[in-house]
Amino acid sequence: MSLQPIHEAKADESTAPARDVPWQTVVWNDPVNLMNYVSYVFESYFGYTAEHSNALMLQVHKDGKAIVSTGAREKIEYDVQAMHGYGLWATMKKADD
Amino acid sequence: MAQPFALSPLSDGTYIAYLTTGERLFLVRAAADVVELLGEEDTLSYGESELLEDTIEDPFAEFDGRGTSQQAPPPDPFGQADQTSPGAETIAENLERVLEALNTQDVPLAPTDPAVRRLLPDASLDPEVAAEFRKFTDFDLREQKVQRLLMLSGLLTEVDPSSDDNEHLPLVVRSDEAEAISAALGDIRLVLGERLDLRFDEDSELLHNFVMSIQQEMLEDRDVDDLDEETERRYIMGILFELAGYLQESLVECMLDDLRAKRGAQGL
Repeated sequence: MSLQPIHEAKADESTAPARDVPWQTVVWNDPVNLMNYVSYVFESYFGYTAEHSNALMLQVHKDGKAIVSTGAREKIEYDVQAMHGYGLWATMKKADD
Repeated sequence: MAQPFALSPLSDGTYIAYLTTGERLFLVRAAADVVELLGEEDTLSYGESELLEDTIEDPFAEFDGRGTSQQAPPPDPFGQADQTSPGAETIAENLERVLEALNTQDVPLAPTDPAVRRLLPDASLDPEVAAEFRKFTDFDLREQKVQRLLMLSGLLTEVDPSSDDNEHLPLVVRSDEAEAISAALGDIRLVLGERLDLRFDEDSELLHNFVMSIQQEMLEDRDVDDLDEETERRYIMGILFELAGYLQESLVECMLDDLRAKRGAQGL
């Protein structure tokens, strides 16, 4: 992680209005999907590295779920639909829920 | 016993697995059954859902009838009636009509069949958000899944069936088809998982042990016909679940190798 100059940091401190709160894609564990398949989906669809994909997959496996993407509502809707297409169970939620 | 997917030695970018005719038959039937579920009665009128039953031509129908006297009737893992085999030209027409019917639905309902619900899950813990999501995505997701299952079916029926069930025939998947095939195999497993009541990660292992124990009994000369109906049903679904898993896992390994090689070449 790099250090930001102080003046730039202050510009980033604005509070986002409620409607701009980002949404998140949550992927839930299930007893059927194979671990290497779940990793493949994260690596291929999101373009995450093999290490990050594997870590997310293990988080789903061990914790029961993991947040796999964050962003505007439309993007998250698109991501959730893609996950369902792959056979993963995903839900969308607001980041502050 | 099936051979898992591996990169073709021809270096033509395809992946090859080897399956017996019986294994192919199992998978074609399973794919057809899931296609039928995706056009379920909740969304279609009764007449239209019948169309889907005819959509997958049963390429082994002829072969089944002319099998040797030892040939068992084709397995029916989902317990559905035998399907007729229309001419190939009606398959595309039927699919067209079914997809059109899906398109004219006003509000897609959350599926009542748990297997279909698992294929088309709720997108939110908030039912209103989930309903809104379903309205916009239901048709596209069903169509995507159906197309992939038809692709899998097509590949499985590319080679002529063999009367020797020990003969392993190749199942060739191009690298650009692999993701679709892996997802189709996954959808078959999701439906089987619901039918087998798999709830927790450990349940897959319990299922594996169950399948192994039945196979052990069969080795000890106990005929599978001696099993009670429920045990036989679970056994057949279990075999299918494992076969699809074996194929999917090996195919995904090939896909990961390919993806990483491409990324490496791009310096990612």
